[in-house]
Order: sequence, then C-alpha cells, then structure tokens
Amino acid sequence: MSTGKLKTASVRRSQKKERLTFHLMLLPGMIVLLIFVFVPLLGSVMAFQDYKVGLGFFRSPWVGLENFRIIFTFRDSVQVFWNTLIIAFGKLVLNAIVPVIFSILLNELGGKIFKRTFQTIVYLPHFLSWVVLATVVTNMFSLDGPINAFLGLFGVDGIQFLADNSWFRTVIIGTDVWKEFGYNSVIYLAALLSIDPGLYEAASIDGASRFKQILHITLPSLMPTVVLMVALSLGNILNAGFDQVFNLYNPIVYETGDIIDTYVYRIGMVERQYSIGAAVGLFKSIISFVLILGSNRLAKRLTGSGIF
Amino acid sequence: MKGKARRAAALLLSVLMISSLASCSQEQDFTAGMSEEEKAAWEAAANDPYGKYPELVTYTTGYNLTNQGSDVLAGTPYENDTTENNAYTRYLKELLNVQNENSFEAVSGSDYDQKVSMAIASSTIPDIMHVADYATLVELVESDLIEDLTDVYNNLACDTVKAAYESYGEENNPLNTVTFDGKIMAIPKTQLSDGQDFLWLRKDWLDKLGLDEPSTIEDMEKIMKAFIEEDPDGDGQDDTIGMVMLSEVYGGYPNNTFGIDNVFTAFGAYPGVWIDKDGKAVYGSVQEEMKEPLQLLNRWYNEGLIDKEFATRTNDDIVGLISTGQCGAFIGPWWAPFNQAQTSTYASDDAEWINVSCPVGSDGKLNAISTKSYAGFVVVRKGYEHPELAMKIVNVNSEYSKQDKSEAAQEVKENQTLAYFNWPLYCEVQPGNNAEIMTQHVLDVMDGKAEADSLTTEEQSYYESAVRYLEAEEAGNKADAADYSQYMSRIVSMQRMIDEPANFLVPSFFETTDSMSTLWASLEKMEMETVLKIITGEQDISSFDSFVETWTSSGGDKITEEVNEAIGG
Amino acid sequence: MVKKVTVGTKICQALIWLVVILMTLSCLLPLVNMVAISLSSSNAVASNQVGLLPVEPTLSTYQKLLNDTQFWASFWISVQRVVLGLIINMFFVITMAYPLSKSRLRFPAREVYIKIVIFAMLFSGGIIPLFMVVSQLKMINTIWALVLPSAVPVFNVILMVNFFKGVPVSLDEAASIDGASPLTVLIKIYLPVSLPALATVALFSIVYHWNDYFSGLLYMNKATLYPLPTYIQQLTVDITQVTDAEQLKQLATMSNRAFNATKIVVSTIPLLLIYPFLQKYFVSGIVIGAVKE
Repeated sequence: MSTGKLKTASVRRSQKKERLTFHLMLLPGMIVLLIFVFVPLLGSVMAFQDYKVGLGFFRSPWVGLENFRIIFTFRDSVQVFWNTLIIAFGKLVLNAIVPVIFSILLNELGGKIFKRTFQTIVYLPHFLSWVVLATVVTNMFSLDGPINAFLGLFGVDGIQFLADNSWFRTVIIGTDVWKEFGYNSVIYLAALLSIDPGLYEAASIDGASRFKQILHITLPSLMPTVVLMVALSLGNILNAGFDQVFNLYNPIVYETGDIIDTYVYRIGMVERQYSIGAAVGLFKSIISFVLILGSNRLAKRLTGSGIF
Repeated sequence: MKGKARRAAALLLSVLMISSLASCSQEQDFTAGMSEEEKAAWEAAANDPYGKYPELVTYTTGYNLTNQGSDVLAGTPYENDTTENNAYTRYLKELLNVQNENSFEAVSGSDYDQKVSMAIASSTIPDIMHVADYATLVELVESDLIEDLTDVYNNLACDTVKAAYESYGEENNPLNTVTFDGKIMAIPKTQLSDGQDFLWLRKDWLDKLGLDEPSTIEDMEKIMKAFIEEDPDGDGQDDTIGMVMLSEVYGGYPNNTFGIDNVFTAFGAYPGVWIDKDGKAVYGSVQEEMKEPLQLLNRWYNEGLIDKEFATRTNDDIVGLISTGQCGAFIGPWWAPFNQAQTSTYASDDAEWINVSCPVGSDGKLNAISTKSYAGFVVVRKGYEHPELAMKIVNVNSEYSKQDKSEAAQEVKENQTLAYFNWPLYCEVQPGNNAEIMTQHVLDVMDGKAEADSLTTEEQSYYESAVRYLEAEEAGNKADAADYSQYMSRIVSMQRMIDEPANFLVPSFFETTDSMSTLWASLEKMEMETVLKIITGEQDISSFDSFVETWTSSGGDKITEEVNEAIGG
Repeated sequence: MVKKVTVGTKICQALIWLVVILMTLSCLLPLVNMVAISLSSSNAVASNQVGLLPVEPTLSTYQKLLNDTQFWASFWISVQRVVLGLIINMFFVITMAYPLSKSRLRFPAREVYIKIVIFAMLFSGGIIPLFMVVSQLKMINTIWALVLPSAVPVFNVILMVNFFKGVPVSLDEAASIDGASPLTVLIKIYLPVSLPALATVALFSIVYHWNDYFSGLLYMNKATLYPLPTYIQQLTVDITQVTDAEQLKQLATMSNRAFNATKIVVSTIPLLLIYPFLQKYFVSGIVIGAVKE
C-alpha cells in the first residue's frame, strides 16, 4: 500500500524487470498451449462442416449450424439433456459432500497407521476402469446378488436395479461416488491436517462438543477448498460419465440413463460422425466456460476473492 | 466480411495441412536407370499372379492385431515372431520376395478403424491396407487417394478368387460393391456365409428327462419348461434357467451367439434387416409379423422360461450361467463349440451338446438370414509403384498357400491354429459356402472316400483335430479344448448344416443412407426400448403399433425412401 | 451427567469406526475380487464362480506374466513416461503457477493469462487435429507424443496457483527488497514451503501418466511401443464389438479373464506403493492457500 507513495524510478525499474521475468516464465507454457491446444482448436471448424477425413478441412462441405440443429432437435434431445444434467449434478454434489464427510470421520479416528491404511484402500477403486468394475456392480445388484439378498431380509421383493427406471440413475450416481470418494478425499484430508490445532483447544476449553467443533471450525476451514473443487467440476456438468453409463445401461433404462455422450456414440456407430462429435464438444466447452467464469465472478462478489 | 472471415479461416487451417502437401509431391518411376533386362524381369514379375520380384520389395501396410495378447505364441517355436517377421511374412518373402513394414498396427475393430482414419486425415496412408467399412472406401474413392485396380484384377486375379466372387451370384457379387464408374477400386474380402443359427441343447439333460430333439416352437417351449421344472442338473435345487439370451435380443445375424433371431424368423418376422415386401424394401422390425413372436416372448418371460435378467447380462455373465450348468439351452451359430460356455462344460461337467434346427417355420425348415457378401476391402495407395502386389498377396492367401505342401507352407499351417490372423494383409477370398465345402472334404477322408493328402492345408488341420478328438474319446479321455471345438463345429455341427438346409432370406440392403447417419441412432433407440419393454411386460403389445407410427413419422419413412432409391439406382 | 457424555462419545466413536470401516471394506472388495480372479483357474473364472476367494487356486497366470515380454516392455515404457512426464509437468506447473499467483497490481497481465489457461482447460479441437499436429512434429511413435501434448496440466496449474496465493506476501516482499530476483524467491522461499502441495500435484501427474491409455493408442503405431495401460486395454477390448465371424471364433477360445486380471493387479501395484510414500508430504496440501487467504 505504502509503496505507491514512495515509488521511485528504481522501484519502477525493478517492477518492470519483475514483470518481464513473469512473462518469460509463462512463455514456455504458453507455447505448449499454443501448439497442443490452440492450433488443434482450429480443427473445431469441423463442427460447421460435414467433415470427411478423406476430404480434409478444406474440401469438406460447409453446413453452417446444421450439426447443432441435429443435436438439439432429435426426437428425445430434451430427455437426454435432462438425464445428463441430473446424473452430472448428482455426482457433482455427492462427490463434494461424501469425501468431505469421509475425511472428517477419518480425522476423528485415532491411530496414524489405521488412518493411512484406510486412506490408501479407499483410493484404490479410482484405478479400476469401468469395464472391469461393471461386472462387479452388475453382480452386486443382480437378483441373486448381495444387495437383493440383504433387502430380502426385510421382505423386499427382488429389484432389478439396473433395469428399473426408478433406480438406474441412483445406482449410477451412487457407484460413481463410491468409486471416486477416496481419491477425491485426498485433497480434503490434506486440508484437515492444516487446520490450526489451537482452534480446537480453545473450543474445548470453552466446552464445545466434538460435534460443535466440527460444525464451527472444521467445516468453515474446509469451505474454500470445497468451493474450488466444485467450481472446477462445473466444467464437467455436461459429462455424466460415458464409460460408466455405457458399461451399465441397457435399452430398458434408456429413458433415464441415456446421456449426451452415449447418444452421440450411437450416432457415430452408424457412420463415423466427427462433425457431430465436434459440435457437441464445442457446445459443452462453451457451457462449461461460461459456468466457470460465472462461478468465479460469484465467488468474487461473495467472498471478495475469486477462485483463481 | 464473410469472405474475409473465410479467408482467415483458410489461412489458419493451412497450418494443419502442410504435411499433406509435402507428402504427395514426388512419385518417381522406380525403373529409371535400369537396364532393359532388369526392366523385363520386373515386368514379368508384375504380370504373373505368383511372380517373384527380382529384388526385395518392401511395402508399407496397416496391420490388424488380435487381442489375444503377445503370449499366444509363448512356448511354441514361434515365440520370437513379430508382426513383421512371422510364419506368414516369411512365407510371402520366400514366395514373392516382399516384406511388410507396418505403418500402423492396432486391434481389429474400432482401434484399427481409428488408425485408418488418422492415416487418411494426415494423408499418410500406407501402400496397401485393409479397410473395414464401406463408408471409408467411398471416402477414399471420392478423395482420389486410392489406385484403380481394374487392370490388376483382370490380369492377375487367380482362378480361385474369380470363381469365389462369381459363386455369390451376379446380384450379390462382392465386386459390385467396389466398382465405381466401372472401375474396380478395391479387392473385397469375402464374408463366408455363416449359415443358420441353431438351438444348442445339453443332450445329456434331454436324455435324463426323456425328451426328444425339438423342432417346433411348441417343442422348444416344452423343453425349456422341463429344464426349469424338472431339475436337469440334479442338484435338487430350483436354480436353472430355461434359455439365456442377449440383451440386444436380435441383430447381426448370425454372428451374435445368444441372439434369438430364430424365434422371430420362425414367425416370418425379420427384425433388424431390410426385406423385400411386394417389390419394395421395408424395415423388418416395424412389420406386423413382429407382434406374434413378441407376445410369445413376453409370455415366456412371465413364465420364467427365458432369463429374467437378460436385459442386464453381459456376454461374460451369460457364458458364466452356461458354464456353471445353470442353463442348457441357447441359440447360436455353428461355431458355438468354440465358446467357453461349451468347452468348460465339456471339460468339467461331461456335458454333451447338440445343435438342432429349431424353432422351424411353417414349412418345417429353419428360416435364416443371409449375410452380406463382403467383409472389408484391400486398397492400394494412389501412385504406389507395385499395385499388383495387393492382388498377388490375396492370391497367395486364398489359393496358393492352401495347396502348397512345401516346407515353408508347413509353418503357415501350424500357425493356422495358433495365430490365425497373423497374415500381414488379412484378406481371403472364398466362395460363400466354403466352410461347408471344407467339411465335406474332411468328411470324405474320414469316411475313406478320399485320401488325406487331397486336403488343403487348412482342411488338413481340421482333419487332424478331428482325429485327435476321436482318439482321446475312444481312450476314455477328455480331448483338448481346441480339438473339441474344431471337431464339434467343423464336423458335427457343420454336418447338421449340410443335412438340414434352411430357407435363406437375402436382405435387400446392407449399407447406410444419408439420413440414417443422423437419424438412425434415435430410431434404433426407440426400437430397442419398445422390444425390451414388450418382452418384460412393461408395455402392452398394443404399444407396438404406436411405435411403428412414431418410427415412420420420425424419419423412418424418409430412410425407407432413400433405401429404395439406393437399390433402384 | 459427565458419565453419560462419555458413553455417548464412546457410542459415537464406535459408530464412526463402523462407518469408516464399512466404507473402506466396500472399496476393498472389487480389488480382492480381481486378485481372487487372477489366482483362480480360467475355467472357474469363465463360469463366474469367483467371489472373494480364489477357486481352484493357481499361480499359473503370474508365471505366465513373467514370460510375457510385451507386458514388461510396456511396463518399462510406462515407467519412462511417468518419470519424463512428471518432470515436464512439474516444470510447467511451477513456472506457470508462480507468476499467475501474483496479484493483479503486481502483474496486470495475469488476468489475461489466467483466462487463456482456463480456456485451454475446457476447449479442445478433438483427436484428428491434435493427431495432425503431433504427426507434423514427427513425434509419432516417440515418447514425446505421450508427454508433450499433456505437458501443461492446466487443472494442476490452477490448484498450484491457489496454493502459492496463500504463501504470506510478507515473505516475498522482504526478499524482494533485499534484492532477490523473482526466480530466487521462487526457489528459496516458495518451493520449500510448498512441498506438500507439490506432492499432491505430483501424485495427480503420476496417476495420469500411469493410467492414460488413449495417447498410446492414438500416437503409437506399433504394438511393441504401447505403454502399459494401452497394452492392457487392447487385451480387454469388448468381444461384442467384434463383428467378424472368423474373429469371434478365435476370440471365443482366447479370452482369458484370469490372465487379464493378473495384468491389472500387477499394473496397479506401483500406484499402491507410491501413494504411501507421498502421504508423508500430505501434512498440508494446496489448502493452506485457500484457508489462510
């Protein structure tokens, strides 16, 4: 603050030098981004073409917004968009909440070795692909699987979770949260450990219960991290998880489980449709970009500092 | 304004295109600077179906890998073989003096197709390659990237290849597909007729329950009922399933093991294909005939005759159900004995499988659907100096190697059962009923009507498997799984195919039309939803009519029109 | 009264243990299942008999794996890729995150740069243009194709920016006044206090490079050059996608889930080993930045 008033020629010079160093530090990264992101991005023109690989970008015919029209006007585009949004939103919310709860619970336990072991184990499912996990999930939820056996104890009739429109999305969201919560909690666990222990001590002396301490110290301390993670995952609001849905769905649950990516995949099955894929990609990117910049602005207004 | 923007876009795009310009610039005459003698030698080699080149010719190609893993050859004399040096490449080198250099390798299917697309996009297609689908071939032709092979075919195609193409009949000749403006632009790989699907049953269960071989729908129902009610596996538990089936129900006839197309065709319904009705092509899945089989399947579903959970079963799950002896009936093609579902029950459970023609149509025969006559195309890069090489390799694959009894061919024969797909350019041209012809030859030898050395190398390997299987069984042992599969499919099941011919319907159209590329996914979704929901009882059969209506109005009519145009034109 | 609280706390503690243990167990099951499959006979696996314990246990798949030369070749390629990729990623994360973490007053251009970076995180031109660029640069079939297109891990850069932001400015200013250059400040002050955050970001990089199969598939034209995940992925290609009858015949006999499970188990082990090692640094992560802001 005070430097402004005392600004001399030499300070200004050193400031100039500092900024030059900053530009130079960013230069290599920007070159890489230019080559591997921005030059290929020119290829997005295929979203406005009827792109054929043999004809290339120059000779493929231009079709204007036709590819976007196709995406927005097919018979059940509304249904597919809703499915995508509901599944992606469900995952976004629970993938923020569950890891936070898990981290807090784990933090309440004593014993470093137990903590680390648990931590390592829960992070494992992240590394198994859905192709592999689909078999496990299908078996878990089958009529003679453990989940139905458990429900049977309470006299519930067998439910075909993966072939039931009232259950399918729940299973998709639930299994995704199960697969990722350990990996997602890595960040929160680190956050918890950085909270000043003095705060808890003071609270204990004031007679605050463990629960109250979590509510008034732990949670508020975690909030900035949660906000950052949620904001960044807004970029995926139209990605409901192709691999997972593709490996678990079937025509009976199309009406609740068919998402943009699986739909586009099936369009591409008829004939490779690079243009439609590019149009969908462009559309998703624009939505994500708007959402992320919007959330940054919102965060700035609410907390005074942006996310990035 | 608009022009400016376009010019700017074009300028930017050219950044992406530099290489493509560079790569198609120079093409030299390789005979430049040769003596007359040398030229004549090259000329002679180029004009002989099996001519050996004077010097080693290295050609670049795309290589189809299998997903068997690199360990299939482990423990055999061939374990150090590579994709550029194996039994097949060595054979071609010795025979023609040619060597492949793989521009790219990938597992057949979508991985390989993607590599092809990338090669086309970056204008770096190899000298000779195999492309799997028709749309890609059309693209290559339209963008003028591949060589006209008309002369090559006319001069060099061996008799076996020519006869094989002709065996499909004038209408269905695979060459029609690759002819553009009268020019042959590719060498089509033939698709063997896969014959009809059969109902595969556990004979040991039938015997135990005192049941006869079924033939009609009613027989089939009776057997499935017995299989769920009379405890065929004898474990005293009610744990058997009448029949397993694919979640897709039908389609891809007859390649889909566990698909139940036959139940539909028995009623004269042909789902998933374009059929001829009163001289006009119509889509089989939206015809009246679909209703009866759908209603029947719904009843079977409700009565528990077909797997209650079929909609969520993966292929592995189904194989699991059969392998554990929970199910003794499925519909599948003649090569079903290769499936682990059968080999494992044979080994562990003493299961005895038979294939029967069931359920038959009103005339007592199975109704089956023909496959298309081609299964991919070999193309040559425009400007490649040895375009005839593609034809020569296909000749070797399809004719020469089959009859060659030399030492070199022995290696090829041994690899036939180990790593069948190691041909650098996997393209065999065979008559549609080749599988039957081969079996007939083997049967003749087994019956003593012919000598073993009259067999082709491929037939010999089947014969030897059969002999090994029978010897093992005779000695009271279990045969090797591979021999069991070969014997059961090539001999037993194929014999049934020869003895009990089916009615074959030839679909009127196999390819895609313009509107299909954007509308089909939506129509297919509607179709699959309706079919599954009717079978599981979530929807009434009356919903079929409204499905047909929506199908027609949502683009089905337009596509039907296009299909008819395509056939007419 | 006091006693009651203790009982309540004890019940509470027990409940927490129960929940955490249940959650942990649920994550362990699929892996135990994979291990059990890898140790079972292939017939037992084909018939879906294997649950949490091996059926007809055998070590044959592991013996077979030792002899699978391509597996180990791919393993080695992946190790090289991870090391090289990690170094490159960390270089760019550090050099980019540091200037971007400065305030708008000190570095006005940051607002433009950060927008470019966010933009780059969300937009992509698709695989064909990217492939064309990589092939222009003659990187096809080289390890550079596996590490350079992903050289700037934008997500990690943003995480790091947030961490650097939290380092007290006073440290920085004091050093600057002493005449230290920005690079010296970065190396002498920022990096030492950021070790935990760097470990987090490093973990993400390692996991990405170890797991990503698609780059290998796209840029490697020889199967012998596939990194490990690509090699494994192509073994487990969905059989139902193969439409060629001849292929089906062959594949039906060859599908070997037990062997594939072994490959997955063995390829997951390095990640298991690396995590506890990095956990040492997880005393505090990117969060200091967010918390102390």
